[in-house]
Amino acid sequence: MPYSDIENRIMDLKDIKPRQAWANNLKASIMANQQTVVRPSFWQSLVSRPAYATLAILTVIGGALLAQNQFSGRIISTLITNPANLIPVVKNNESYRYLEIAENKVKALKTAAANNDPAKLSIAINESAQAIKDAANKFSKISTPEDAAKMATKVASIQQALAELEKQGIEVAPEEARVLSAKVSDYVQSEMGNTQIRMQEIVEDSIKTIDQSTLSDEQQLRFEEIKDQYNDYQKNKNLAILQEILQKLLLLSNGK
Amino acid sequence: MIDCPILILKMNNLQEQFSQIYDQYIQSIYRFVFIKTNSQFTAEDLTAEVFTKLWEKFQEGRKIDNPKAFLYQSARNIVIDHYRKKGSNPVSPMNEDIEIADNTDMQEDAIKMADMRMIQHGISQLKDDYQNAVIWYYLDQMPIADVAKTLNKSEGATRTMLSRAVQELKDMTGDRFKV
Repeated sequence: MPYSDIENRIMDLKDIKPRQAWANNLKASIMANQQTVVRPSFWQSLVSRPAYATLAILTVIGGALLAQNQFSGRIISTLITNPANLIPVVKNNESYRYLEIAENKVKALKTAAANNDPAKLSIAINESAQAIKDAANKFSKISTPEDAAKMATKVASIQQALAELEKQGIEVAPEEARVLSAKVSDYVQSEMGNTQIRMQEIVEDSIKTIDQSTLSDEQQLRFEEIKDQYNDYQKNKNLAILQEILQKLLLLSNGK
Repeated sequence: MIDCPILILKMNNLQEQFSQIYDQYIQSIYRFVFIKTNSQFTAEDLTAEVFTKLWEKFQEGRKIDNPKAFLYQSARNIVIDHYRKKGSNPVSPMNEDIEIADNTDMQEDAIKMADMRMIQHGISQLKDDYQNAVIWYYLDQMPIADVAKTLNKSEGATRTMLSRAVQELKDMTGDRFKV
């Protein structure tokens, strides 16, 4: 078909484009939505909602910060490097205990795999599979964000170890692992409904506190950038940006 | 560092993939919907639905081999559903501003915009398959074989369809453009 005026005019419609601000906001708002419905496989079940695990930890960190009611680089540094130490211990929690056992068993399996000892490896695989099965069967819902954070941390640790083992061709109780992951994901998600709002409060509180602190020129510059980024966040409510801001604030507080 | 590094990495990867697809197709999907609905606000709402569906699939861990096909199929279904809910055929107000690329010549811009509105209105009056064929072939520059495959028709039938579509547009726009 030869080119003609009308064909050219049709092709002019290529210039139709969405409003840039709308397009940017849409992308940010879609990606901030972490809700999911189906979990087709074990790892995807948590991977699809990882923000909740991270958020749980961040919330606990933030909660501790607020409780301190002061700006202390040392405290924040400790929280970042070893948050589990400052999260209240989940006492008398059977679910958590089984998760701990599963974590230890899977770590032992990793060691056995690294040492290439067939006899120990066989025993370790069986024990890990049983421990994951127990953790999945004994899991019951409890009710605080701190518990959710601890649970999420443990499951993430198990997940990481299992992923490494899988790369070596060792698959351990995949169905039970999927069930465990799904249960904990559901639980974490239900606990973390308002976490983004809490994170915002943490960021705002930290900004107010740092505003009253003495900073070096370089720190001041970074602080101003963080504030600008937070202003941007207010427009698009992108969770990933909020997480980034919180991490930057924590690093700034630690003098890094 | 915060705990759960693998989770964060995988999520970042998921967001990165989505972000790339979004950037690549947002304009063409928006344009596709806009031409069919003749409304900026409706096009924005429906385009948002299309990409939200894609993001949900990503989160469900579904593998999408051909994101472009998925997006267009979703867009088609969503537009059809939109008109079904409204209980009417596409309305063509011809009064929506078309956002076009920067052009410093205002007079040329105005003429171009008027022509674009006329053509866009004309396309929206075509049969659905004709609309899709015109958009994919002329605007997305899909090869004729791909357009035919997407429409589930032969290449010959698709060429005929395009030819008829252009003829219908000519009839609608009168003598303004010559074919």
